[in-house]
Amino acid sequence: MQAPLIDDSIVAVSSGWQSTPIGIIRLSGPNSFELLRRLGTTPAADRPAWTSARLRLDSDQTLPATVFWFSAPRSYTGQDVVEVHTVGCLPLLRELSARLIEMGARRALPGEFTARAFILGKLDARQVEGVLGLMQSEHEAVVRQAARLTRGRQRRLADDLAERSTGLLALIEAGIDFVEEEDIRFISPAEVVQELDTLLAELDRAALGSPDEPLAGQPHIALVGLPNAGKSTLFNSLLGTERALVSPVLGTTRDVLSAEIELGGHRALFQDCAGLGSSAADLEIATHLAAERTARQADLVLWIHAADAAWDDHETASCRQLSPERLLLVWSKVDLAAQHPPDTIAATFEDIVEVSVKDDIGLSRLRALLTARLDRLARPGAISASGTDLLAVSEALRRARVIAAQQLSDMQSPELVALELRVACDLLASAKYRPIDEDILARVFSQFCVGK
Amino acid sequence: MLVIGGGHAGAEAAWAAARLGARTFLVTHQRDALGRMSCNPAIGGIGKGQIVREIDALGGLMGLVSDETCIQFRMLNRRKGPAVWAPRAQADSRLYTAALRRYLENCPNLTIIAAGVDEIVSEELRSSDAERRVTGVVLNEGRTISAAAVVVAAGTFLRGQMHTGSEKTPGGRIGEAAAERLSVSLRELGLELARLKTGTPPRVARESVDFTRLREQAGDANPAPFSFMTDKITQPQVCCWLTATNPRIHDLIRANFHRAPLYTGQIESTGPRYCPSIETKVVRFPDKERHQIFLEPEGRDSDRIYVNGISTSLPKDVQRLMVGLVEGLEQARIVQWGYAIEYDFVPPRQIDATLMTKRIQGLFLAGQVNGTSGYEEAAGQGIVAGINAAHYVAKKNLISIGRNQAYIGVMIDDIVTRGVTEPYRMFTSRAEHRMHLRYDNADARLTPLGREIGLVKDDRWAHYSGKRERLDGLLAALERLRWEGRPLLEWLRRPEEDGARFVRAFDELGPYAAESDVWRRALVSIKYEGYIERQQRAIERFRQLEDRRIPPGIDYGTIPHLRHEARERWSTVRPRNLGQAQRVSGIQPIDVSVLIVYMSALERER
Repeated sequence: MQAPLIDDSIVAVSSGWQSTPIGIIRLSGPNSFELLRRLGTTPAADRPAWTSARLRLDSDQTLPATVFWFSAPRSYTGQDVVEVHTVGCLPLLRELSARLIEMGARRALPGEFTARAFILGKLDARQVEGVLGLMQSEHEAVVRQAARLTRGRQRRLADDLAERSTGLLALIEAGIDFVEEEDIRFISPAEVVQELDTLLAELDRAALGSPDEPLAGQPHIALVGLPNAGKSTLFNSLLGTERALVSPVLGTTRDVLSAEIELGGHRALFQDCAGLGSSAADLEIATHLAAERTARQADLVLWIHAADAAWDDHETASCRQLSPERLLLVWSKVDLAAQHPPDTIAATFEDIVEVSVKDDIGLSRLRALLTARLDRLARPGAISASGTDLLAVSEALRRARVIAAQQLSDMQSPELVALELRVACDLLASAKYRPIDEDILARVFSQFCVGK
Repeated sequence: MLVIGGGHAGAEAAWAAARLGARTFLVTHQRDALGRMSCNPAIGGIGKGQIVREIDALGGLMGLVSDETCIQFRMLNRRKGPAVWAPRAQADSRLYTAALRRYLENCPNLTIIAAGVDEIVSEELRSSDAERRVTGVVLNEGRTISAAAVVVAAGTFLRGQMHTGSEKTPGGRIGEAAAERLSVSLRELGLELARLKTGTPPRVARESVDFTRLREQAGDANPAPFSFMTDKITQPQVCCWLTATNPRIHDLIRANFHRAPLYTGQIESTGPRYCPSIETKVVRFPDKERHQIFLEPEGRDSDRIYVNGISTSLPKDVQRLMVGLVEGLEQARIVQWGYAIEYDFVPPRQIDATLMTKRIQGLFLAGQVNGTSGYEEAAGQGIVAGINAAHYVAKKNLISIGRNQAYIGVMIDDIVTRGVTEPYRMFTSRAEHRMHLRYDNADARLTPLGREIGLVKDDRWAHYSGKRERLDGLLAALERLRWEGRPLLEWLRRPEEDGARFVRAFDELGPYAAESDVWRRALVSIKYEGYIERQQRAIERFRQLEDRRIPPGIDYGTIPHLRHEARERWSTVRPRNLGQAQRVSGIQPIDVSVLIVYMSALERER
C-alpha cells in the first residue's frame, strides 16, 4: 500500500486521467524543483514564476508546456510546488507523470495535496473537518469512478494484469518457500520469461490506447472574470474549503488553480482563472494565456462579474466568443451593490445567478444550475480514475524479464525476479487491498499440494 | 517473573528473563520434557532457519542447543540468492531436550518447578488503560507463587484434545495431561479463547524399516551452524530417506473417510494449510498419484523414525494398513500413532507487539497460545516475551522488534495486526524487506539490540565486533586492490565472478577468504548492492510511519469523515503507530491520510 508521507514529492495529473483540453500535472515536495530541472527547466526559486518550456521526455522528444513554480512556504501546500500546463493528451500526460515517478516522485493519494497543505499549517486548524471531508470525497469519487469503469476495457486490462502478475509471483514465491517438496516444479525459467512477455505485450497494446472506446471524462468548468470579480472566493465557496489563495488585493490569483469537486453526483474539474485584463506584467500575461485557453477549452464557463463594477465592452466581446449553452453569468458580490445585470447583456446568457458568498445569497441556486448543466454534459468515463501507472508497471516487468532471461537454464535469483514483480503487483493492486503474502499463499495452497 | 510452560517459547522466555537479572521461575509439568519436540525432529527451514539465527543474534538459546545436538545440517535454497538461504537441521530430540535442560538448570536467577498452573492471580486496576494486573499464579499442588509478570507459553496444552479415529484423549501432547484449569483461568481474566487444530504422523521402529530400496538424503558436506558463536559443526551426520505414498494408499484412505475425524465433524477447528494431513491431501488433490514421505530418525541412536508427510488422525487399524503399503515400511512397526490435536489459543489481537496482553498488565503470551505453529516461531516470541517480562518487572520500557529488523518482527506484527485464521507459519514471502532480512546478516541486524538490552554478553559481543571489523577490512581491501586497473569491487559486481582468482593473486585476501562467512557476506553485500540500497530506502519510508505513535487514548469514533470500516477496525486492533494502522486489514490509504491529518490537528491544538 502506498503511504501518505509528507517528505517526498508527489505528483498528480490534476486534470484527471482523461482526454481533456488542458493537462495539468502538479508536483509538491522537497524535490519538485529538482525534478523540474531534470526535465530541462530550471526554476528560479526566489518567487512564484512561470516560463514556457520544452520538457524533456526522452533523448529525442520534448513536450511544449507552460510551467509555474511556487517556492515553499508560499504555495498551496506550503512545499515547493510545480504546475506543468500542457496539452491534454492522455498518452503524453501519462508518460510525463511516469517519467516523474521514475525519477523519484510518488503518485499522490486522493486528497494528499490538501492533506499536506493542512499538515504544513497552510490551512487553519479549525478547518480540519472540512479538509477531511474534502479528502474523503475525493477518495469516494475515485472509488465511484473506478466502480463505473468496471465495464471498461482499461479496467478489465488492469484487473487481468493484476491477476496474472500475482499468479506469476505466487509461482515464483512458491519455488522459494517450498523447496522441500522435491517432487513439485512450480514454474520453469522459460515459462517465467514467456509469461512476462505476454504481460508486456498486453501492456504495449494498452499503451497504444483503445480507439474503439471513446475517451471521455469529467467536464471542465472554468471560472473567468475581471480581476477582483470574486472568482477565488466563489471557487473556495464551491469547494467548501480555502483552496485558492483568496485576498482582496487586485490580481492575487497567480495561476490557474484547479480542483475536482462533487456536485449532484457529478465529478467536475473546476479551474479558477486569473482575472482577465489586469496588469501587463509577464506573470499576468502567462496566467491570462492559461486562463483564456482554459476558458476557450472548458465545457462550461462561469463568467464572474462583480455587482459593484461596471460591465466592460471586453466582457461582451469575450462572452460572444462562447456559445450560450457553455456560459453561465454569475453576478457576484451583490452584498456590495444593489445593481442587477442590465438587460442588454442578459441575452448573451442562458442563465444568470446573483450571488453573495459573504451573505450566502444565491449559492444553492448556483449549485442547482451547475448540476443541471453537468447532467447535460455528463459522459461515460472510460479510464481508471485511480489511473494505474501502467508505464511503471511495464518497467518493473521489464526489469524482471531481464533478470529471468539471464537465468534460463537455472533460475538462480528468483528472489530478484520476485522483487521486481512485486513492484508491479503493488502498483496494480486495487482499492480492495489484500495483503500480498496472504494472496500468494492462497494461490499456492489452492494449486499445489505443498507441506509435509 | 514466572513462565508457564517449558517448550521452545517458555525456554527462551525464562532464559532471556533470567539472563537479564529477573528472578525467574519456570513452571513445567515435567523437567525431562523441557524443549520436547512434539512433532517433527527438525529445527529451521525456509523462514524458520532465519528466525533461529535471529534468536541467536539476540543472545537466545535455540541456535546453541541445535548446533550442539543436531545430526544433519542442510542449507536450503543454496542454489538461489543468499537472501533466501535458510538453514535446517535434523535434531536428536533426546539430546536436544537434555542440552536445553542443562542450559536452563545452570542458568543463574532461574528456578525450575515441576508442576502445573491452575490459576493466574490478578488484581483490579483503576487509573489505567489496562483493567487488571498480574500478581502471581496458583500451582496445581496448591501453592501460590507471587510474580509481577507471567509469561503463558502453554503450547497446545490449553484444553488439548487428541484424536485418533473416534478415540478422543484429553492431553497436551502424547502421554501428557492437558491444562484444563489454566484455560478456564485465562477466560476468567476476560480473555477470549478460540480453537485451532494441528496434527502429527505416526512413528515407526527403526529396525522394522527396510531402507535398502529407499533413496538416501544426506546432509551438507560443510554444515553451516545456526549460532554465530559456533565456528564449526564437528559431529558426524546421519542421513534421512525418501519414499512416497501410492494409489493403493489413497484408495484405502478414501474407503475410510467415514471414519476420519477431520471429515466426520468430530474435529471442527481449522488446521494449517501448509501442513495438511494425508487425508486432506487425498481429498484436495485427487489426481496426484504419490505424495512424498521423508523418513527422519528422531535421534542418532534413536529407535524411532518420524514418518514425515503422512500426518493423520485416521483410526489405528487404517494407519497400520496405510503404513504397511508404503515402500520400505511393509514390515514397519508403529511405535506411536498419528493424531490430531485441538487446543485453545488466545486470538492474538488481544496482545500488542510487546506480547503483553492489552487488558491485563504483566501478562505475556508466547508461542502456540498466540495461534502460531512451529518451534522456531514459538522460540522467537519466547525471547521477546522474556525480555519484556524482565523489563516490565524492572519498570523499563518494553521493546518491540520491527518488520524491517527481523522475521520475528514480521511474525509478531502479522499476528497482532491481522489476527490468525490458521496456525501461523513463517514464509519468506511474508517479509517485504526480504533482501535485508537475510540468514547471513542476522547478527548485524540484532546483536547491537541484544547488547543494548543486556542479553548479549561480552563473549558474543567481542565475537560480533571482531567479525564486523574483518568484514569492513575486507570491503576496504576490495575497494583498494586493483585488477587490470579496476578495483576488485567492480569485478565482483559481475554475477559470474566468485573472486577465487583474486584470492590467489593477493596474499592479503587469504585470511579473509579462509573465514568463509566473512568472505561470503562481503560478496553478498557487493552483488546485491543495488537491491540492498533500494530496500534500505524502502525501510526508511517504512520507519517514518512506524515511528509515528498514535496517541493511546484516541477515540476513532470522533474523527470526522473517517470511514466506518476504518473506525471499527482501528477501535478493535488499537494500532500503536501509523505503520501498524496501515496494515490492519480493510484499511485503505485514504484512512491513513485522514488519521495523519487528524493527528496533526491534535498536535496543533496542544
